[in-house]
Amino acid sequence: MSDDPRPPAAEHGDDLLAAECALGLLEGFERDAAERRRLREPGFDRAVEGWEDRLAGLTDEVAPVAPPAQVWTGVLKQVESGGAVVELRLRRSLAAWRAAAASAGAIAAALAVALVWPHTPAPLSGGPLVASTAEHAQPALEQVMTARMVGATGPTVFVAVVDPQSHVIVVTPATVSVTKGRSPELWLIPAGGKPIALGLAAFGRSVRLNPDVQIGDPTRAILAVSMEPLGGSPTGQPTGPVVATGALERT
Amino acid sequence: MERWIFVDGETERQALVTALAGVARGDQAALRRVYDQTSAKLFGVCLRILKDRAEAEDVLQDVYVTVWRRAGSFDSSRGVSPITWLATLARNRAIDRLRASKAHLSRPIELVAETPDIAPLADATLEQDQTQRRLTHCLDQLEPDHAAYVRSAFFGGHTYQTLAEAAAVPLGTMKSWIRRSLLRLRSCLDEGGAAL
Repeated sequence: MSDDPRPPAAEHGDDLLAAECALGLLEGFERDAAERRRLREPGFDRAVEGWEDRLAGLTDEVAPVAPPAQVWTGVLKQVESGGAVVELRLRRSLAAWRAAAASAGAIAAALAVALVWPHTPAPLSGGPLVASTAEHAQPALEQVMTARMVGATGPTVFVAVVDPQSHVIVVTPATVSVTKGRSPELWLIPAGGKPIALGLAAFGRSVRLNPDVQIGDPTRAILAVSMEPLGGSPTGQPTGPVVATGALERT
Repeated sequence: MERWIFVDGETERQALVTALAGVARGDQAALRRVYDQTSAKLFGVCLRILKDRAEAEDVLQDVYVTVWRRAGSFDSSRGVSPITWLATLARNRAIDRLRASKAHLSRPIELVAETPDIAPLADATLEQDQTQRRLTHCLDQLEPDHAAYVRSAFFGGHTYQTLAEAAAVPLGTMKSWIRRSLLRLRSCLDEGGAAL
């Protein structure tokens, strides 16, 4: 693989950070900050991919084991059931979206709304947020923000659409793995502040949250999802691993 | 299961790139080809990380469903090999699952176990073979303990924090050991790649 275009000689510290990111050495805010940079800086994202590429050779140290036939049967069943509409749409636009994430918030937002739309259950359709944004752009749209929450590998795990005025947040799963006995919980992390619980998301459907939270400067806040015991964190702070984070972007 | 025989790594790589392009277009037969070609490797990786058959099967299934849904985001022009893309996806999913279960927290750093469990396979492709030899060679240049920490992070989901705790050293010490190891690894891989 000597023909691999390695990231252009990234700054020393940056490339180390990329390695730490690829290997998963960071925790908490450090990890969140690195994930945020990955989303916003294509050069940094490539540096992480470069390290994933270097380290992937470790998997060659592992003896292959043929999986039992039921794995393929299970794959086929999920594939044939169509899976989530969300991900099929996402699949086509992920690369473009990632490239545009830093500058073109509007595209991401339009996409996020499109993602939420086919997935949202009936009760949502009356809500001011989705109803007003799906069909025609109305003035209220300017208030709406979106966050595409990504995990360590870069896939979108959850998408959130936030209307700070009405305090309504719609959080929709994208490529999340169901973890038995756990609840995904949504957090708002203000710049330099402690996480604030926003409510529980779900693995298989959109959830509409109406948390009693004032988002001070949303453009400096990020959203995160952690895996908590069923019913949510017992402490009011994340206790389980943070599986995805994403910055709030104005639409 | 159909067994694929490839004369060299590049052919396998090309077959996989072609199959993934088919998956991106929604071709289920192409997904089956990807599965046949890669599932034993990825299952091995999931098993190594999760050390639990049922969990590993579950994650593996999730990985291929994800491949079905996300094959369009694989871009061979970015220089990442398809097997690297798949292995990274499987590794990261398995690590996420491991961390969610918190099972790894009670797991000691396995200095012995986190060493290569196989020699390069007789039927390994050239691409795999060279990559592994290069990486193994470079890891061998590190302090044995430090190489084990890198492997523990990769296969055990350990972070700086949990590695420092497990090794009973200050966090800063563990960070500097690993950072130095990563820098050495990089220069060894980037320099020595062509020599092997």
